[in-house]
Amino acid sequence: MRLAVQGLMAQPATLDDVAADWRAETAQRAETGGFELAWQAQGELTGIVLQPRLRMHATRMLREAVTNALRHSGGKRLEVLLRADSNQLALQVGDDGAGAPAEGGDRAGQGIAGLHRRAHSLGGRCEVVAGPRGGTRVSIELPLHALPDNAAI
Amino acid sequence: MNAALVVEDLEDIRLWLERALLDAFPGVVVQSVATVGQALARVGERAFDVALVDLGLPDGNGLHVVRALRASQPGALPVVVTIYDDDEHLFPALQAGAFGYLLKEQPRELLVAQLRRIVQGEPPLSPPIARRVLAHFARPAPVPAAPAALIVDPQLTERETEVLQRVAKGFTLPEIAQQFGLSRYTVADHVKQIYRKLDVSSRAEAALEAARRGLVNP
Repeated sequence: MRLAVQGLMAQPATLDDVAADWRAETAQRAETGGFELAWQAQGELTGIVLQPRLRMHATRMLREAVTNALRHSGGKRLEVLLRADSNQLALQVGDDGAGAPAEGGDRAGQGIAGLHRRAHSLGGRCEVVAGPRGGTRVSIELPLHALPDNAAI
Repeated sequence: MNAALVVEDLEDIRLWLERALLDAFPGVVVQSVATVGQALARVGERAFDVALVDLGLPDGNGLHVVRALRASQPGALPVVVTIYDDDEHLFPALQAGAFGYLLKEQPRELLVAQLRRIVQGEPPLSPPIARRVLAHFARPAPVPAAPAALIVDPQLTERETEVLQRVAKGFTLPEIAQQFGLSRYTVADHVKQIYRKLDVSSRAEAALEAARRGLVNP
């Protein structure tokens, strides 16, 4: 559902706190959907501050990538890798399902098109490829600074 | 699970909550109202098993409904529904006796799953709230100004603190149960105890404050 969410996630937060929120939501969804979750975080997350706008969009992108894996992959295992340094935040969401959905008119395809749009408007990028051991892997890279000023999403 | 109350002034969110309740508990009778006044009237009329209460209502704060339910229907589970995921808004709700909270902006299947868990006695507890609860109980216990008739300010047990620390890192209750070699029901009981202590702790603080004022202005 779409909502006006003034106030939601309005404060800057350190990445380790945000990552805990992400992990909690993803783990609950994986449990509900009958998936096994492998969650890995790399880097010194405590020292990295996420601004509210980046936090909100990264949250929604992770959510969308996880939705695709849970609803459309047909797999049983979800792998999330979170990596960060002082310049960049990288998120990888992989599954062991049937393979990369085509970017067409179906719901999964639309979700992925949305991921590309969001990544682009944040000055980052998003890649959807076949995983090394089958399934799909969504890779998102977002710069922590130097966002375009008037990017509309 | 027979009767549910929804207190929400925005129609699309009200419908969304009603549908989530029906998904989670087929056959449940849902009554919906849009204001604190209407909610208090309904609470006076009949018993509810669960109430989903928005905080920002046109005629006041939804916490009044939470308190009224706590006072008059001990068997009802008041659950706060909010767009705010920050502890500034949620912590007072928990202190007022809310049995958990749900965020409006979250995937629907998660909302339905959380509703089922709440009614099974497993209240939701997010990492930011766990951090806030840890900070709350880490403060030094206040020195009683007037020893008589005070409620004892509760402290967390070591296990309750450990559960909160794991939740704060983003682990779910079933994961924590597995890590500690406990059943998920045992972990849920720890969480319920934490909620209860929060409620008692806030009443102890209020009593202390009242006693302090009483000493200043007899």
